[in-house]
Amino acid sequence: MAERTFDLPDLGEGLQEATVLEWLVAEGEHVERNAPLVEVETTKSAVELPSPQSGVVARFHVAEGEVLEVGAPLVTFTVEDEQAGIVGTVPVEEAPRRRVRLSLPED
Amino acid sequence: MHIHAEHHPGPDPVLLVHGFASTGAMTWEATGWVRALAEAGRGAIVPDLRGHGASDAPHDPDAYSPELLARDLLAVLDEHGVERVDVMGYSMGSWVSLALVALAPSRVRRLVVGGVGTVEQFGHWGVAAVQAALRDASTELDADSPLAPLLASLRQAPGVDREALAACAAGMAVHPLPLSSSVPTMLVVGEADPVTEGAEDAARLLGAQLVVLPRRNHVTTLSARAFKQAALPFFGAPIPVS
Repeated sequence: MAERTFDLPDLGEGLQEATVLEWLVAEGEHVERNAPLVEVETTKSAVELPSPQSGVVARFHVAEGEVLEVGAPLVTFTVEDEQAGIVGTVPVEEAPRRRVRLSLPED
Repeated sequence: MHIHAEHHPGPDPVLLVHGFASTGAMTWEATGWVRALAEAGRGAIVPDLRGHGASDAPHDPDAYSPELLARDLLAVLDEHGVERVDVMGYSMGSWVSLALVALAPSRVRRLVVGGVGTVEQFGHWGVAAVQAALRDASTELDADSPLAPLLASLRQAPGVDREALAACAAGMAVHPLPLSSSVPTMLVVGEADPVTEGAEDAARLLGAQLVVLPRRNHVTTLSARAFKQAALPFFGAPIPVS
């Protein structure tokens, strides 16, 4: 067994950080890929992030109510050895056309 | 009038109606609602209201009222061949959904509305002030207004049709809130959301079951698991014989 850590993804709109509102799974619990993982709040919206993979949640890196910077560790899973060592990010549901209409300048 | 709507295939789709200055995708997809409905075995129809997202955006205030926006929803239902649906609206989308019930009660099976009380927000904070804050960065709304942070972020966002939003605010404000419902209704509000002032009275007028989410504000109510845990069983409940 090995561990695999996922970072807070870029949520778009030029946002640099997010507040964890509620974990939707518990440490030690098995979660399916794409099942609800965590709910986060930015200055502009609230977003539910799906799990990037199936596995057992080893530990959270941030508690509910705490602020996390984009790219900082969010959650670590326990995975089978052959899945370890892959760098990944939590997938974000994109709605490109409409999201672009509301996005801030990248700089 | 072109109204854009995303159709997420699945049995018995729920019509999801977003609020002011948002889009169907921001309100219902990013917050996990479409996924939660899919897990519950339901599809979703997710329109962008006129003036918003990928739908047409007239700049005339007379083009906006709860009833006119509700007529757009009827057209979307017709286009998708859906005779009768469960409907969920949030914030301004709640007023549009209630107008839909008034307009075509036979088309709505059950209704969940959220993020509203008895106070029409545009009129309450002043249409002229809202419009000025939309158009001009040097104008600030009363800092207590729950609309202030929304308008501040909108001003910086390229691509948003601020004139359409200004017209929408003006048009909606001159119409009375449709505070009645003839179908089974649930009202969900955040405990920390000032927009929902009068929610208990609103629930009484609507004959609605009231659900209050602790610590949630106008934004974070939308993504709350507790909201989904309240609404999904309500939509899954047996349909009362009328």
